[in-house]
Amino acid sequence: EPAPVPRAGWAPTRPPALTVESGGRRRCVTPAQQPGTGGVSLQRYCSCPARTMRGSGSGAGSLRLLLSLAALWLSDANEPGTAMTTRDINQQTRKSISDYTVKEHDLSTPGSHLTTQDFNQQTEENISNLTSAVYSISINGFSSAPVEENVILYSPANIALSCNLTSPSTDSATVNVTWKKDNETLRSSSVTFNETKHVWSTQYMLKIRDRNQMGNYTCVFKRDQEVKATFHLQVPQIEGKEHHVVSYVGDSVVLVCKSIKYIPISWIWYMSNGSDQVAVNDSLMPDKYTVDEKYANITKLKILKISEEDDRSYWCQAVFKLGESKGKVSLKVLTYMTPLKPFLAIAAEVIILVAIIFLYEMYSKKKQMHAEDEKEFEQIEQLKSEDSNGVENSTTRHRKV
Amino acid sequence: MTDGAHPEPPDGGWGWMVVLAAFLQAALVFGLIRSFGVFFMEFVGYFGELAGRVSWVTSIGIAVLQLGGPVSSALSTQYGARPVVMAGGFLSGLGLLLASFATSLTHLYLSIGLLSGLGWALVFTPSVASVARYFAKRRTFATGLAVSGAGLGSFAFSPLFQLLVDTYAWRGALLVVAGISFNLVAAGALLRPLEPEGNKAAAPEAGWLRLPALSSLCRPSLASHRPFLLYAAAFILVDAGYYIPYVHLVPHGRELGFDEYRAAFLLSSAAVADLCGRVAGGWLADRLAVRLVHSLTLWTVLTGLSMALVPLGRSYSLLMGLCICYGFFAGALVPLQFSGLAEIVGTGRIMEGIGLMQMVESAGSLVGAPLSGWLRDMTGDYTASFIVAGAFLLAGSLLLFALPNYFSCPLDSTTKEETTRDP
Repeated sequence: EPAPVPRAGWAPTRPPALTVESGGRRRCVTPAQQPGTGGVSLQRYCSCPARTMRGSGSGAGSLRLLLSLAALWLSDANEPGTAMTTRDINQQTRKSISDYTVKEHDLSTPGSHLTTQDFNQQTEENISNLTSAVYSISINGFSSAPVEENVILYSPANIALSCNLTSPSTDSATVNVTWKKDNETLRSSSVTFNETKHVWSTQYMLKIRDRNQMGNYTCVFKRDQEVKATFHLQVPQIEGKEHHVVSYVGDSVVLVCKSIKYIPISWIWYMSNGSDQVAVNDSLMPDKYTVDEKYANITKLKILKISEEDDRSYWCQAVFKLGESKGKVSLKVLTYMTPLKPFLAIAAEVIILVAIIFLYEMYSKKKQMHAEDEKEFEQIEQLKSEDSNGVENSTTRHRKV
Repeated sequence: MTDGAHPEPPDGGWGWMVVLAAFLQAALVFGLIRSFGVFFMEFVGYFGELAGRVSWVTSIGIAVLQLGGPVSSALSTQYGARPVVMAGGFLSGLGLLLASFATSLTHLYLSIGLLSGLGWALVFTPSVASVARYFAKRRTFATGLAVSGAGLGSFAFSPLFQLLVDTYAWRGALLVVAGISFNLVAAGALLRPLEPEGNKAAAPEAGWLRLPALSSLCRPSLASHRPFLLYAAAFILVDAGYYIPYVHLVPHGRELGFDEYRAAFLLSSAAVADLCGRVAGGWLADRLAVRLVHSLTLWTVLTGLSMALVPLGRSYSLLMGLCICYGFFAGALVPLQFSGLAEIVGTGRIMEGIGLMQMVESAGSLVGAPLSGWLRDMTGDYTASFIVAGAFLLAGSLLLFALPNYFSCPLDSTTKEETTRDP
């Protein structure tokens, strides 16, 4: 079993975004470096708090602080260098508090504010520096069947989807290529198209940032015939359990879902109610349901005091940045009578066997004794008859005399 | 003990039913224990305990099984094999039945470990001893047939237990397994005593007065019997090495780079070879004009050699071949071990002998696996473990050479018995 991974939390060891590094991140000027100005001149790509020339009112300042915190929560905690550390926030908090004391009555906030947009741009720049992963499909000839490939995406990434068509025919007609997403034709500047001898290849660069970009991407090569290949962009699938989990009335059971390679952000449990799915609320009913999330990639739903109504399907939903996926676990509830029947049947069989064995033994003993008795009887009879013959002889002798 | 109380072994007839009974008992005791791994995973999941703590359940059961040997043999010498085995069968089923209601791991330790373990101890010793009593010329073959039940039992029960767990969850499955275990009572009923009932009638009157006889297990008369001591010592050494492959073969295979299923298959093939070896070894021993202890030494040496050669098997096919050899030889020596014992102590004291030997052997098997694991930790792989295991077996076979009259010519086994029966 793979080792469980502790929940990713706030990671204070990440380097602050405020220093210059070879990754090309911008340097931020802290307010302390410009004591002369009433505020701080904002640098566009910096994650320092926004300040106008004339400082900020308390309301706007706290709003900005809230926005910066909100943007931090929205961005991925795992991405390097994009989020601020607790230290930085404290720095800004201190700074903004000190600003409030100085500038109280200025309410207007012209100038650029630091908004979610800026944060995303910061995030964007950091991801753009990542290399693209290339997924490619090779198609042999125009008459091959449509090819499909699953692409599992866990977190925002840059990917390149590439289709290579090899056609041995010497027909020099031009080949048209279109890319479609879920049957809608895409018109994008991120498509490249090469043609070398008999190999046509096209590549579509994608920047996957949110769940709307997941789906099916198809490349279509068209000359006189049409051939296509499809990439299914999906979040990692969760495997439930194929067989029922069996438990008994009054007992407790633990339903487990695992996502081994990819760590979800969170898990949600659902149970089936008729044909819908209802969320399992473990805070509402703590005596009945307990969710154990000791490790981030394993979730355990413990159901206590099981009754027959709990005989239904349960779904564990893993929430990823780019979507969700569900795994199904079914619970089957039995009463104690169910296994009792085979047990009693076997116990009865044992008793019958023992009885047969003992009866057979008594019977064969009796036969043995009977046979012995008969033998003895025959022997006695023989002796007796010998005796009687002797007696008769003597009497006849007697008579004769 | 005089010979008069023990009639000539029939070597057939009802003896085959006794073999059947012993076969069923080996299946229902050892086959069950070997297949218990299915429940192991269920307990880990349900009780949320560590694997180490859960594995104590079967360890306690096996320990009680072996340590209870002398108790079982004393009881069966006193009351006869049949009542003891039937009581033991009932106890082992009862333990499993109570286990199906367990709410904590401690319950399992007590019900399966202690209660069922005691039941198994009461079942095993008398049934093997009965087979030894019923046969003389074909004793080894009969014993081989009987102990092959363990292998067949574990084959049948592994998938069966899995099916039961899938259908009824572990509680219901344990309930059904308890019922299956009660068949030990029926098997015990087949162990018809050889002595005429009259001799046994004398015992109950003085029965209560003879309770001190149970204390004879504290000072067993066999402890002063030098050949027995040698034999037992030899088998302590043999047992120290015997179980190593069963424990360490799969990890060794995994370390060599084979995947889980191929490594597990190594063990399965060794188990199949073990089964064949038990039957074949028993059959051969009775057929050949070679003396029993000589055959026993031969199989032990061969087992030791094949075990020591296991580290040489780097390729899958070579390793597989060595495993099959090991399995076959290891299986072949099992029936010979018991009938060899019968030769040394005589059928009169076979009960006592098996019981004592079981208890003493447990020392060897308790030492073997941890020692082998420690060697592996020290040296980094299993080479040293397997070589040491083979060395234990060779040492045990060397001790066998020290048995009295070892180097004399093959004698008739029955006359040999009479000479050794004299105190």
